Amino acid sequence: MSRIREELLKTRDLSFAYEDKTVLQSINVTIYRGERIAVMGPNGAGKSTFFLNLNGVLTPGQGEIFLEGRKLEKKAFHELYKKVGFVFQDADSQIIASNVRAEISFGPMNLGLTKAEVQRRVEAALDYMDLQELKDRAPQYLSGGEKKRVSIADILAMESELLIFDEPMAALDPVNANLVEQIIDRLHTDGKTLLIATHDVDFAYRFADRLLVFSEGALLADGPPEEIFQKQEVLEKAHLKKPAVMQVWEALTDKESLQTDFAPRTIDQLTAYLSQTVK
Amino acid sequence: MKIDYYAYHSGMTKWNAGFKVLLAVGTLLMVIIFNRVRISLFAILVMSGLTLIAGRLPIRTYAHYLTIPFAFMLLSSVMIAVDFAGTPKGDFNFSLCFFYVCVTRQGIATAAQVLLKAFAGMSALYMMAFSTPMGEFICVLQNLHLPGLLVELMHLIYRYIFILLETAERMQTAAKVRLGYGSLRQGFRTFAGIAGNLFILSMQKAERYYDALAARGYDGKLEFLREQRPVSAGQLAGAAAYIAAIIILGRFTR
Repeated sequence: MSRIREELLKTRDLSFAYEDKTVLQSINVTIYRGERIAVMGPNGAGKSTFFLNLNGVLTPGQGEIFLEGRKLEKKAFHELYKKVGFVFQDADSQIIASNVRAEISFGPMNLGLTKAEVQRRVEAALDYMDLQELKDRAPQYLSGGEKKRVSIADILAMESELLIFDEPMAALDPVNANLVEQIIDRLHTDGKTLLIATHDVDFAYRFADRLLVFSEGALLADGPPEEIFQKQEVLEKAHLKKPAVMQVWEALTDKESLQTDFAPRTIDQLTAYLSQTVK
Repeated sequence: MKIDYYAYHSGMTKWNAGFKVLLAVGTLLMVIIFNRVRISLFAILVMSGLTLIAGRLPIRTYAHYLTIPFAFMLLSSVMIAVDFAGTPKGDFNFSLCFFYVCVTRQGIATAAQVLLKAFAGMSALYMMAFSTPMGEFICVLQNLHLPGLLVELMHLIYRYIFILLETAERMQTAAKVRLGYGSLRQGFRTFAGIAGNLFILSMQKAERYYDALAARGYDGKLEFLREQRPVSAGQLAGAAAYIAAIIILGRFTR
């Protein structure tokens, strides 16, 4: 971890209220380039509102936003969509065009690019999400998993550096949930910064190198998952469970006094370790 | 709604949409202007041929979709052919106690002419409808400089019709499993409930949809990449031959 951490997006004392109902209270978060962040917390804790603020759809009542270290003017907030892409939870609420190719072109068209560039980006997004065969299809004739892939391609074509996913695996069958997880891993490898809201603690534990926990509009915890999942009061307040692998590991390290400088994040790591050490 | 499905899966989907619209509207105009049986017949032949052969629409489907308009056309042509009178003044008369149902040769000819004209127009419109996805049709209107607001509304309405239908269907199923349609009374009440809920749900979702549009930089102008589909030389030649044939049939034969 000798790499210098480059700041991508920072919020300082960001607050937001719908009319007189406070939804976000002075949120301070700094997101660094290349991070994999899981955002957790019960529904209504303010995750989606936070995302919409980061993306420029909503303008915070108070607070400042810094992009790559530079403070943004308030009227420049709505330009944030150029750097921050947002994949909505429900693909149907995102898709508007009458065929896949036109749909993916919507974001790039709004960026004011040349036609050739829009075309290049649409093609690249189609390839990346393996959608070439479906490019002339209408959204109403796509399956749930296919719609999800289209909604991700929508955002990829905008070539934003920070990608926000709101519960990307919700309402998907295991095959498609798996596929989306693979896509997310690939995006990380390709250098994207990822911010993913999820209720799945096991996924968060294996995916994230940083965890943000929201509760009642405030940021309850911010740190590495292995630390946060140890804090009983955070878990209780945000109604979270410990990841299964962590629970099993703790039970093992208690009884068998296995070495503790290593902690498995996934079932595969756990079983590999066990088959090596436990005879 | 099924027509929409066929439009996306037709062998002619990839043809230039403007070309198809022009062909259909042109046929309609020529059939009306020339107003001759042989031209109507020729147009029916070509347009149905396009839909069935180039578009690869199953003939049974085509026949199925033609039944309803054809029934209407047949009924109205019968009304044209038939006259009611107190005296037997037609070429064929049927006595019905107090009056006669009269049919003249002239009447039959007019009826056939009208029927074929209507049928030709129908086949031209079907050729277009069964091969042109709505999105592309809207783009043609855009090229014709229809106001932007209208075009965008059409795009959005078209997209959301399907979501609305899907939601309504789900609600209906949910109501059915709770015996919401047990009796006629219950049926009415369930229907009212679904209609009301759909409205409220639409209002709620509209906000989310707007957020999703804004998240991708929507600033009041809905723009998509448009498909470039040049008209091939073969298609152009075919259209030219078709129009020439109609003109020859209309002008130089009796």
